[in-house]
Amino acid sequence: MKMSKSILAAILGLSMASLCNAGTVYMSGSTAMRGTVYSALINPGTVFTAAPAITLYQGGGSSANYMAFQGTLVGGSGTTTIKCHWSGSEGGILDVASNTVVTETFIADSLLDGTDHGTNVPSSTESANVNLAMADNAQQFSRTKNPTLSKKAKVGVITFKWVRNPGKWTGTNVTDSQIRQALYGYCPRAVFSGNSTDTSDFVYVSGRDNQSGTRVNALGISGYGIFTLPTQIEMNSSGVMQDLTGGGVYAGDYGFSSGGTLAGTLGADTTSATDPVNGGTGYSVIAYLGVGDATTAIGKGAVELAYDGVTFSPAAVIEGSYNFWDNEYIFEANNVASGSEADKAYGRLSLTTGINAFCDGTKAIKLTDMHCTRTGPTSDPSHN
Amino acid sequence: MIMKKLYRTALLAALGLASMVTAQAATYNGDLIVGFTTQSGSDVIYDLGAESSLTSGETWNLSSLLSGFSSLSGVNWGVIGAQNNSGTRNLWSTTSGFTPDPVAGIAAWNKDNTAIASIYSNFGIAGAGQSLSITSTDDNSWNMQTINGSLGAQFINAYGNNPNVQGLTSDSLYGIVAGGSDPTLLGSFALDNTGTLTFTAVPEPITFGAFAGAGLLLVSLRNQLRRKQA
Repeated sequence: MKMSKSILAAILGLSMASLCNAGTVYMSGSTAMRGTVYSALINPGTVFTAAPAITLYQGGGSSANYMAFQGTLVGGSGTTTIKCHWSGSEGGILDVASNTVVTETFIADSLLDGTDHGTNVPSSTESANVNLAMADNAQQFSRTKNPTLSKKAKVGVITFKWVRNPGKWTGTNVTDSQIRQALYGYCPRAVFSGNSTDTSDFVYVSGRDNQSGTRVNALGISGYGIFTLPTQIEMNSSGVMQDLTGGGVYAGDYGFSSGGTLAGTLGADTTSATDPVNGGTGYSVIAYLGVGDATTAIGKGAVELAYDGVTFSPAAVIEGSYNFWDNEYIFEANNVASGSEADKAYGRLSLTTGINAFCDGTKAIKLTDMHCTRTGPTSDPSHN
Repeated sequence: MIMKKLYRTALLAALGLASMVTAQAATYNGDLIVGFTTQSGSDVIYDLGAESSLTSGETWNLSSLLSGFSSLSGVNWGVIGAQNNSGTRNLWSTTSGFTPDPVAGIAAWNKDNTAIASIYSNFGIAGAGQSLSITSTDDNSWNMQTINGSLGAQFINAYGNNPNVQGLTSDSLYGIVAGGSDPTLLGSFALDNTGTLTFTAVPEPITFGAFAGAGLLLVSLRNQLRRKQA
């Protein structure tokens, strides 16, 4: 009798536990869009019925690279956890397209304490298949074109900026041709300054790795080619170029995995720094960033650049005169079951009252506010 | 991040799904690569090895790689390569017979090298004997890089010369050193109907001299023999 009571209690307990814990949704993708997704997820009634408990690591606030939100989904029951690791748009598309093969790391359950841990990295992570991803470009412009993701939605427009560090070049505008020449890896400052004597120091691009949608757009929109290998450098926040291979190679297909980390290096003054790539003293760096990360870089001493003579403004994006932007997408993995927690979250986030409603008009722009459209980074905007 | 990439690569390799998802890009090693395209379907690209290791009469049996082409007579093919050898920046390119353009300087060579490195990024592993198949509409296919591409970063636009010939014929290989010097004819590649590629080096001047000397010696010996017989 006692035994059957124990078994009954155990079954009841397990049932209660499953009722309380509705499941976990795993999300990855665009670092440039993470702030906007954060705003959508914390707003009561958008995805969760009430303000969720939020645990954040590596960045702090809406800039964190690791996020976890716990609450009851609209239309759901029990507690659902949405874990996010912002791995870059290309990483996100790969994660969901190949989620039977590829995993991403997320904050471990044991660390979910509803606290913002600032710049600390999570001391414990779990690997999981990804259900949802954000991307700054359509799948047709991605490295991962197959398998085609059948469930996707356009949820806004993501904006980008070019910035420069306080280096030898002191200009305020950059053109497509200058960007392309810098991406080849041997670009004397004269190409940027127009001054015939500026031939002893060089302008480099510091950018993102090939998991980044910001990179897809920077290379695609400039006409360099999305899949053309860039020659990029990485410097630290003191302006020292990094030898990432350990073999004395300071430039190559390098790039930061996070826009926030890249932004943190761009305040470095390199007017007197050693140039280990082409020799000499002093060099200059230009970089491409999401608008939020560009603000961080500018706060550290970087300078915003106009693009092809047009200074960034929301109006310039909306009317199609400023060209460095693309559509933002949310993707659902093909194996997510209809009506599951992940599918419910996708449904809420993809509504016009979802992520789109939280586009702040600068870092991201609502689709309904746009007066022009584009298919992707290899096409020009078309005014409505 | 590196660990994550390694993990992904290992996992993909283990499951044999690397072609389905993002493959690990090989770093270009400066080898000569030969590409084949009919400008539709899939292109084939093969690593021939370093230019410095070429020997006259060397052959490559590519019959199985080229079996996807219905006829080799309609296939466009050519050989290109680039290498920075301790500051001497070399470009190699075949042509249908014309002398290709010089490479003005480091900036120009960097463009050519970028184009070839971008083609090479689709190899799973770097090294002589490696090959790949890629859709001919991909920006880094042989077709788009050397014939039809519109990007400034693609080989046909960066260098300006088409390295291809069509069908069962030979292709002249030139070496070009960045800095404006004249291209040097190094030899030729020939493709036969079995899918075998053969390299024949241009004899060096000393070789010409040796042949000429041997010829004169033979004539002299023959004359002496005739005089004795008379």
